[in-house]
Amino acid sequence: MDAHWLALPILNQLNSGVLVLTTDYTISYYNQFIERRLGVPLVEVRNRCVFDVFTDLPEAWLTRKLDSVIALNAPTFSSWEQRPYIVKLPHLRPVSGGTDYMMQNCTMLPLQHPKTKETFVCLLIEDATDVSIYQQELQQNMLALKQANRLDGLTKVLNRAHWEDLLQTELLRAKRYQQPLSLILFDLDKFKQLNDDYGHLGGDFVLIELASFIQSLLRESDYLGRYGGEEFGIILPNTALQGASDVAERVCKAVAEHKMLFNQQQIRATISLGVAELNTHRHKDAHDMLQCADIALYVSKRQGRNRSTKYREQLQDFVQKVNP
Amino acid sequence: MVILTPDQQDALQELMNVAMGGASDQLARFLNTFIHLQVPAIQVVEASSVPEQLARMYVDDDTRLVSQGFMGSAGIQGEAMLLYKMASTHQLAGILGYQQDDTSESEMLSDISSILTTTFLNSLSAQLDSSLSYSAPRLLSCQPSELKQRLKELSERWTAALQVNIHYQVTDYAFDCEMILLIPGSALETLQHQLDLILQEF
Repeated sequence: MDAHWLALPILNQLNSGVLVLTTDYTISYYNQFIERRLGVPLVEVRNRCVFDVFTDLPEAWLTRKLDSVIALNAPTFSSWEQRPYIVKLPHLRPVSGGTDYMMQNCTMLPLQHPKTKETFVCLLIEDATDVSIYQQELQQNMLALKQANRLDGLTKVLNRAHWEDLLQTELLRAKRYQQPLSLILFDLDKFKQLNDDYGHLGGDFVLIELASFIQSLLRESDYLGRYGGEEFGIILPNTALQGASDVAERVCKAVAEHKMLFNQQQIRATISLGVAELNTHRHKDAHDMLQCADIALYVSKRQGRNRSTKYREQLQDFVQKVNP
Repeated sequence: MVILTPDQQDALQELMNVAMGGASDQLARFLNTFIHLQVPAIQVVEASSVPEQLARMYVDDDTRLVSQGFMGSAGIQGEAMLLYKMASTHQLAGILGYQQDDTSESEMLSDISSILTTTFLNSLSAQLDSSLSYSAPRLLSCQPSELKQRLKELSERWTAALQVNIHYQVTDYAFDCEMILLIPGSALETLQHQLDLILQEF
């Protein structure tokens, strides 16, 4: 079968753009795909410089690309992910599209006229709008998933697993760069009483309210996480014991003064805190450090709550005396 | 695993040398500068041995991996992988006329890869009286820890790998890049057959 007659109708019905340029960047041909979207008949612009017809082409970039195709007699490519579009054209999803212009993948091919041996560059333009929309949706979902994976569902501060990972990372970093690192563990005082007085909704409300209030008191580099139940932790990178203790005192005081309103009832809550600094010789991992902060927290509770305690060696004896 | 005879190996090396010569000639014209090119070190290895070896070589560096598929009429097909150490690549970007701000890194690497693979493979296929079609190059995301896994996934689909080490010296700049052509068994047999034909002519 003589297949030559196929070329033209297929070129015109092809669902991709075909744009052919001469070596001095004048338009030699484009197919219906481009003609319809551009709204300019080919006869009007044939032999005109492509940069005069498509006025917002990235000229320096495209020139370099075209020159490489001509000089190397080899194809070159452009992806929508790197450059959303080359030729500004509308796409056919004006309602559901989500982008203003057609996202394009483009292949630039060297062509040679069989008789005159003249060289041309053919730009094959594929509509990648759909792909780009799916990709965007996917990325948004991935981001949301990633966040959901890191945050505590109730209080929206970091969840335990992620917070512990961060603590371990910060611990290794602090050791490597010989920087201080401190940790605060705190616990809501008499949470059971709160739940009894105001119901579980009231208890949850206090947890949410305090988590966001305390978050607002911290530096951006500190990490607040929910450790479990009514227990929370704060990682303070590049902070020594005294600095962390100052933060703990400040948070303790601010919480005690913070009034919360739940169902027209005013709720006040206090917290007990334990502060520990990384001891590079004694603390192998996050767990060792957590244990120290937990002992200090325990001492705060035993000594009457609504206070913070700095961890020191002697506290071990205190704990043993109370729980022989 | 197909093993090349010493004669086939020699013939292949010769083809590669010519291909590399052709590619560097084109590049020199394109860049309008003189390019020194070392004879490429070429070896046919089992694809499964590639990941281990390359991951070792590149483990400490800021590495990028670009992949581009190719297919020809004579049954030649495969995937070209290019491994870059970013430290030396920025220099090449300068030579190619990229400004730091007007192109993204992935675009620059795609362009460089496309130029390196297509000039080399076009030159190679011309010697085999064939021509090749190419897929668009893709920058594969790879954190240093994922590099080995990435290479492993790629190599699992292919049996043989043609490993070509390219070292370009462009006037004052040096630029290193590892190009690995992963080739399936059937294509390697075709290649062997063609090498035999070439050998018969001598």
